[in-house]
Amino acid sequence: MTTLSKEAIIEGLKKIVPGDRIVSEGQALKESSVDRFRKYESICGVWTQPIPAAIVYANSTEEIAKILTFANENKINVVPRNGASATEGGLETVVENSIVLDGSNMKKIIKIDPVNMQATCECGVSLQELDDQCRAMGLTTGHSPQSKPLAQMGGLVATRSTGQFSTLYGGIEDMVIGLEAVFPGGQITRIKNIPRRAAGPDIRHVVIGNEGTLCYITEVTVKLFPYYPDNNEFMGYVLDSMKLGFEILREVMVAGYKPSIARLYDPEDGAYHFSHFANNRCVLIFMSEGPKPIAEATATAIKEIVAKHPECEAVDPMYIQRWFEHLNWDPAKVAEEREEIAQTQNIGHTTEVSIVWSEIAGLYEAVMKRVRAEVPDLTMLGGHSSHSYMNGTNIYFMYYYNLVDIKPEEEISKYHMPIKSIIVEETIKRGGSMCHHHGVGKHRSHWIKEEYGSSYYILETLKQSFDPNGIMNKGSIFPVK
Amino acid sequence: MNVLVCFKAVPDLDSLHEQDWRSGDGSRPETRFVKTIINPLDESALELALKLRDNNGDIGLTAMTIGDEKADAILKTLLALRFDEVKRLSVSSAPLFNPEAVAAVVAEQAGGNYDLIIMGGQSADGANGATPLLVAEKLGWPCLTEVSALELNGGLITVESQCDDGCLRLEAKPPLVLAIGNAPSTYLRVPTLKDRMSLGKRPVEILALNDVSESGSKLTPLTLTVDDHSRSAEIIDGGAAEKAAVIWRDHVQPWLGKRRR
Repeated sequence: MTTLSKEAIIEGLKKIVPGDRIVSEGQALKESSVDRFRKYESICGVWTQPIPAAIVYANSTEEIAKILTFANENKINVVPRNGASATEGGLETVVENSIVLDGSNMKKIIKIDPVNMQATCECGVSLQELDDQCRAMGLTTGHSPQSKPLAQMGGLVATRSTGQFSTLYGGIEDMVIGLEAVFPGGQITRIKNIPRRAAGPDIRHVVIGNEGTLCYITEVTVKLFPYYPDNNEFMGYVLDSMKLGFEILREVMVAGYKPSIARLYDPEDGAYHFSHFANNRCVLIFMSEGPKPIAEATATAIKEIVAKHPECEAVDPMYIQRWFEHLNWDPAKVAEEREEIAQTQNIGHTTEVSIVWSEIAGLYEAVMKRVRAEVPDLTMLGGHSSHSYMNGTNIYFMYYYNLVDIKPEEEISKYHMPIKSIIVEETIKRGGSMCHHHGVGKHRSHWIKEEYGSSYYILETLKQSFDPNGIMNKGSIFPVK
Repeated sequence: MNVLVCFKAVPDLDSLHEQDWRSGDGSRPETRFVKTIINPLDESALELALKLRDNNGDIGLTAMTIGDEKADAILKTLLALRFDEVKRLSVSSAPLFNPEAVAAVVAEQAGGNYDLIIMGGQSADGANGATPLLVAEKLGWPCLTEVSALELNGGLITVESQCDDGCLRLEAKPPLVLAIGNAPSTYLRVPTLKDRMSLGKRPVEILALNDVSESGSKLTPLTLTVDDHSRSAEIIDGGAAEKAAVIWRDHVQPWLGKRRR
């Protein structure tokens, strides 16, 4: 990588942006060497990753182009960042003297267009802000990840995020119409906003989900939908079997219905959220929304499908509605979690994967069995399916453990990675994907070739073509050689 | 040393939706749709008791609550955390606004069996702040309030107690009642799945309150009235002498008159 010193990098950056937008010392620099994957290390103030040379706050696409050109010419690693809500190490600076390129100053909502039903905004616009403004106009982005109060649009697109209503609206890849991105050579590229085209491959997908390894996303245009909150209908059931729950989810999906939420929690995960009514049983949740006739028809059909299974016991829908209103993570919740971890020495993480219907129950059982048997000090192991499709679903494994006799930097090697490894291995073995919606980051890149198989050729060629000097977010998606 | 920790299972009021602060009949908030948690100050009491045992070894720990089955998941957690005994005095719903009767039950249960009773200074829902003091009064024991830390030194208990000017460090000889205040670093520890599977399967002792306590029948208040705390404001113009005259004439004199009558 670069032979430039930290001082030379900062001098170079100062020729592009004013010094007051360059952070080159202090706690913020240390905190920018990691993301929530290493939350325990950061809580303990232990910094195991190389500290970046600088954080640069860019104000425009042109500045980003100049910074990337400078970095590319000098082979400086650049970690693109927006809302900093990443959980998989995507923001870790794994080589010395990296630049963290932060776009959170670029927070202009350029246009909310109710005629063409699309909204255009800069990369640093918070999804919460965008969606609140849309809702005030009777519209919605339909995107609602748990990180909605924290995440920003550029990061959401870069990590191929999905939201709690994805079963109806799709993931971010279904929402992005057009975008602007800057490549390492400083090329500013714009993909225009059109309903559809058959003019070659869909190049949006080179950018969506690139996790900052190919380019920097500076502007995004997403679809809008009419917002009908008054038509929302919630349904909740308790049952004893995850296998049956998966079967019901499948029945609803393959029958052609599109609830906005279709979720199944196992007893452990259910107890975490629904202790006031689940009574250690599985919990099955649906929400229908949209224009009233569609929302009503969807709800009626789901109730009929579930009614064919007398093992499912309906609960007051208000339980589900109230739960849903408290689901998102805001900065206060993140701070509270850090305090609780510090006090209890008990920490939780997640790994989310996807697989076809015929394999989901087997995958769930295998992971639960192996993790329980192989990992010490577990205090909670559970999972839920939260995003379903015509051909399969995801499973979001949740795990908490007590930290026993370890140094802060050993948390990952003693607990987190052994659990993640089991989940990834069991998923890939069955033909599933090791990443449903958090991205690869730096801690699932070890398995990227197994994930892609022979199609890794396509992925690797993208990297070689667009980032030949390997300056874009080293270690993410593509393992450090 | 035998320690009794009293706790209450309460609705997580922080999660209560704005609309649920008023229920249909207007008598109390609608708490059905939020999770049940350990009353936060009682959670500190439970963790402080566990820390006391961590540091001193041979201490018997009993946890007790009065309430319905919503508390049972918490009791199982306490079993998994190696509480020696856990018990629930069963009533149809957790008592509210009757610290006198709750204290009578606790005192009856505790009498002669324990050296130390630890409980949160007040509950999140009732918030009377009276129960620990009333328990102490009924037992004739001292009560230390706003406790944030405790340790055992020989036969004495040393506690830190928060007060307006700082922190008092007090030493007292059991038997004692300790009312826990805002205590730092007292989130309840988390049992492992293994301990949940083994220790947590031990039976929770559930006793019908009316069978074990003479005071149990008095738990439900006969009537509840709200004190009139209404206030009003008035802006008085003029100089200081004029303002004083108005206050004297319109407010102080009538009030004195009422008191004399």
